[in-house]
Amino acid sequence: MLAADVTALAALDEEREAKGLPPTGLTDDVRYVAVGLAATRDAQREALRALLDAHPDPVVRKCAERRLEADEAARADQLLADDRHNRRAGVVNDFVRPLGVFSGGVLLAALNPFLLAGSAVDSVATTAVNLWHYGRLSRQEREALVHYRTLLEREPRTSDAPEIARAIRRLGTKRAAALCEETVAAGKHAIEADDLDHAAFYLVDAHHLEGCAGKAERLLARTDEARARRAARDEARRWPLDDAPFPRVVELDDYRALLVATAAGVPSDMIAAASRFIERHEGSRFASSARYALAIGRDLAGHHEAARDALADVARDHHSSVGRHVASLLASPDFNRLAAIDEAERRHRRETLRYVFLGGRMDGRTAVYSAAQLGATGVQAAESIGMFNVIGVFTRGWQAWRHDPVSNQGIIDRGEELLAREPNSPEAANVHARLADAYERAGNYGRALMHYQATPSPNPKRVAALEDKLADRMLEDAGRTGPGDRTLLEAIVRHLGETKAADKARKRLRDLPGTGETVLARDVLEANPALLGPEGLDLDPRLLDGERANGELADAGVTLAAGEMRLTLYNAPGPGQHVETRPVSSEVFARARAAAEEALYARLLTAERRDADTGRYERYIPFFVQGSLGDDGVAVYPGVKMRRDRSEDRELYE
Amino acid sequence: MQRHSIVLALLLAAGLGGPPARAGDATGAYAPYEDLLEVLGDLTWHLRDDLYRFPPPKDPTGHDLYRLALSRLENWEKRYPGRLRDVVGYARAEALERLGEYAKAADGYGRVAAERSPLADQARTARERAAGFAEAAALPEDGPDVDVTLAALRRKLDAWGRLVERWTGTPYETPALVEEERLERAAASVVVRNRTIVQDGNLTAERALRFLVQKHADSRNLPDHILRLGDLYADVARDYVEQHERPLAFEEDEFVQRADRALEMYRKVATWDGAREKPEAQGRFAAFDAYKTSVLARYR
Repeated sequence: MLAADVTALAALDEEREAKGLPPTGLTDDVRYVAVGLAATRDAQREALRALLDAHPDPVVRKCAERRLEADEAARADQLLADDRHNRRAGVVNDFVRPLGVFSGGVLLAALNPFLLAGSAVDSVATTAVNLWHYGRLSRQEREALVHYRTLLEREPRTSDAPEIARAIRRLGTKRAAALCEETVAAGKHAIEADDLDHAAFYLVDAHHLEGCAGKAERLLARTDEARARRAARDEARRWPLDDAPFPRVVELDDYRALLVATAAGVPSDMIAAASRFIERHEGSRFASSARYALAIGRDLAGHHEAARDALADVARDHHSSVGRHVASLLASPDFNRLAAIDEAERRHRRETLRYVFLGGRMDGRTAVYSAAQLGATGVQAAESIGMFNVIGVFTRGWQAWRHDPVSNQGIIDRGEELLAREPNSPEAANVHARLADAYERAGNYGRALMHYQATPSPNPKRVAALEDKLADRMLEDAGRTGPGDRTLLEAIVRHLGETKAADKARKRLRDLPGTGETVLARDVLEANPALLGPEGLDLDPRLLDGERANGELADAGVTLAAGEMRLTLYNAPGPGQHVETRPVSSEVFARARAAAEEALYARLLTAERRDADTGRYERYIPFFVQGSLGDDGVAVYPGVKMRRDRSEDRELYE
Repeated sequence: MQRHSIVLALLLAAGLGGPPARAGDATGAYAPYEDLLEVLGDLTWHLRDDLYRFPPPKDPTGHDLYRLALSRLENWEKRYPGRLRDVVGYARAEALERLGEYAKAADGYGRVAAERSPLADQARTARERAAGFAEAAALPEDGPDVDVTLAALRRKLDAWGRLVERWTGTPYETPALVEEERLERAAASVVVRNRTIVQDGNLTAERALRFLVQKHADSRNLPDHILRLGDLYADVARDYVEQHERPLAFEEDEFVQRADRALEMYRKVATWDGAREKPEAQGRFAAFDAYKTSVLARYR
C-alpha cells in the first residue's frame, strides 16, 4: 500500500547520498509501517524478513525482529525446539556427569579398577530414569500448545494451519494424560497422608476427566472404604460400651458423690471425693477413673505438677479405657507444649543429620540409583550414594551450617503457641531463647531479634550480630523491590543505624532519583550526542570532550527535575565532583525531557539482551566443561549447554 | 442416703436390661468409653477454658471436645435411659452452654433443678445465668434494610455488653465476649456489604473493621479480622480498576497504593507463626499479588 512512498523515499535518500548529504532517516520507518499494513500473517512475515534483509536502522531492526519473534507459531516452534534440545542435553549430561565425580572412594579405585564400575552403573541408572521420564509434558509444551491455539483462532487461514492443527492434537492428548496423572497422583498422595477429604476431592475430579476414570477408580474405592471406616470409628467413640461396668453396691455412694463433684466442677470437692473413693475402694475397677478426677481437680486447683503425676499414674493402667484415654492425652502435643517443642527440635536435628550424611531427600529416583549401585559395586556404590563420601559430607555440613536446609516451622509454631497461651509461664524465657535460635536458622532475623531480646539477659554481641543480619537482609530486599525500596532503606537507617548495611543504605538513599526526575547518565549522552543540541538539553558539547579544564560531565550525567537541570561535573582542578544546578524554563524543560525520554526509549529498545550466562560462541560450540564442589563431592565433567527458558509468562504454564 | 443407693442400684440394673447399642470395633483413642467419669472429667477440665482468646479444646483425636462430650452424654441417655439422670442432664446442659445453645442449656439446668439431686441448687443458679444469656441471644439480628439491621445489632450488642459487665472476672465472661465479638463482626460485615449505599461507605467500612481489630486485639479471631480488613482493601483496589478501566484514566500509583494496603494486611497474617489463618493468608497474598501484577502488566 505504501510501496510508492517507500520507493520515493529510497530514491530521495540515494539522491541525497550522491550530493554528500545525510539520508532522511525515514525510509526504514515507512518500510516498517508498510509491513504493518500487510493483509495476512504469511505476507507480513515475508515482508518483515525482506525488511531485515535490507539492514534497517537499529530501532526498526529491533522492532521487526520483535514482531517476528512475537508471532505465536514462531514462539511455539522456538519453545519446542529449545525443549527438545534441553531434554537431549539433560540425558547426555546426566550420563556423563557421574563419570566425572571424584570423591574419597575413587582413591580406592587405584587399588581395584573394578570399583570404577560404580560410576558406570550410576551413569546407566541415571540415563534409564531420564529416558523413562523423557516423554513427560514440559512447561514449554504447555506454553506452545496455548500459542498454537491462539494463532489458529486469530489466523485460521494461514498456510501453516494443517501442521499447527497436528501439533495441537499431539500436545493436547499429552496434556490431558498429564493432567489425569497429576490429579490421580495428588489423590494418592493425600490417601498416603491419611487426608481422606482431599483424596476424595482429587479422585472425584480425576474420575470426571476424559479417559481418566479407569485410573482413578481403584483409588476412589479405597478412599470410600477408608472414609467408611473413619465414620464407623468416629461413631463408635461417641457411645459407651455395650456392657458398661457399674459400681458394686458398696462403692455406689462414693462413686455417685464423685460423679456429682466432677459435674459440679468445684476443685476442692473433686479432690475430696476422689481421694475418699481411692482410699475406700483401692481395688475397684473405677479407681483409675477416680485418679483421673483427682488429677483434674488438682489441675483446676492450680497444682499442676501434682496433677501431672496423678495423670502419669492413670496412664499406666492400660487395662481401663480411662487409662488408655489419659495415655493418648499425655502423648498429644496440646497437653505438653514444652515436650512438643522438644520433639520438634529433635525432628529438626534428625533431618539435618540425615541431610548432612545422606544428602537430599530419598525419593524414587535416588532409590533407583542406590539399588543399582549397591547391587553392582558394593563399596564404590556406597561411596557414590553419599554414605562414605567425605567431601560430600563436609560440603553439606558447611551448607547446613550456613543455611539451614530443614524447615524450622514445627518448632516455631509450637513455641509461638505456648507463648500465646502461657506468656508468663516459668518456661517462657527458655521458649523465647529457643524461638530466637529457630528463627535465626530460618533466616527470619527480625523475629529472632525480638525473641532474643525477650530473654532475661540478652548478650549485646549477639543482639548486634542479629541486627547486622537483619539489616543485610533488608538491604538485599530493598535491591529487589524497585521503587518501593526507599521505605526499606529509610527503615534500615532509622532502626538499625549502627550496622554496616545502614551506611550502604544511606549512600543508596542519596543516589536515588527523586519522584518525576529523569536521569541521563554520561554514557547515554555520549551515545546520543544530539541530545546536547539546542533541541535537547542545549548544553556545551565540550562537557563530553574529556578535558576537565573546560568542564566535564561525570558518570552521573544530567538530572532533569521540575524547573531545573542538575549537572554532575568533575572538579577542575582537583579530584572529586560537584553538582551544578541550572534553572530552565518550562518550555525548555518540556522539550529537553521529551528528547531525553526518546533517547532512553531507543536505548532500552536496542539494548543487547544476551544472557550473562550465554557465551559469545555458544551458538556454534554449545558445550561446557564444569568443575564443582557439591553434595556429591568434587566433580569435573563436560556437558551440552542447556537453552535458557526466556518465556516472559513462565508462571502461567508451570 | 441408703434410699438413694437403692434407687441408683435399681436404675443401673434397669439400664443394663436395655437393648445393646452398636459401639463398633474401634480401639485406642477411638474406642467406646467404659465410664461416665471419663466424659465428665474431660468436660469439667475444660469448662473454664478461655474461648475468647484460644480455640475450643480438642480431644486427642482432634475433635471438638464440647461437641464430643455432648454427643457422648446424649448417647449415654439413649443407651442407659434414666441412669444417673441428674448428673448426665447437668453435664449435658454445661456442654450446650459452652456451645452457645443457651436456651437448651437453661432448659436442661431447669430439669435438674426440679429433681431431688445434690446438683439442684447449682442447677438453679446455672439456669438463671443461662436464661440471661438465652434472652440476649434470642434478640433479632437482622431487619428489612441496613439501618434497621444495624439498629437491631446495636440493641443486641447492648444486651451482651451488660452481660459482659455482669460476669466480668468469672469463667462466664468469655462466652459473652465471644458473642459480643461475633455481633460486632456481623455489624462490620453489614457495613462492608453495603458500602456502596452507605454514606462514605469505604471509610465507614474501614473504620468498622479497624475498630474490630483494635477492640479485639486479644481475641483468637484477630488474624481473621485482619484478613477481612485486607479483603476490604482488596475490594477497594478492584473497584478502582473497574471504575478506571480506560488506560488513560488508570493511575498506576493510585492502584498500587490501594493494592499494597491489602497486601500488607494479608502479609501480616501470612507471616504470623502459629496462627490458624496463616496458610489461608498466604494463599490470599499470592492470589492478590498475582492480580496486582496482572493489572500492572495490562496497563504498562
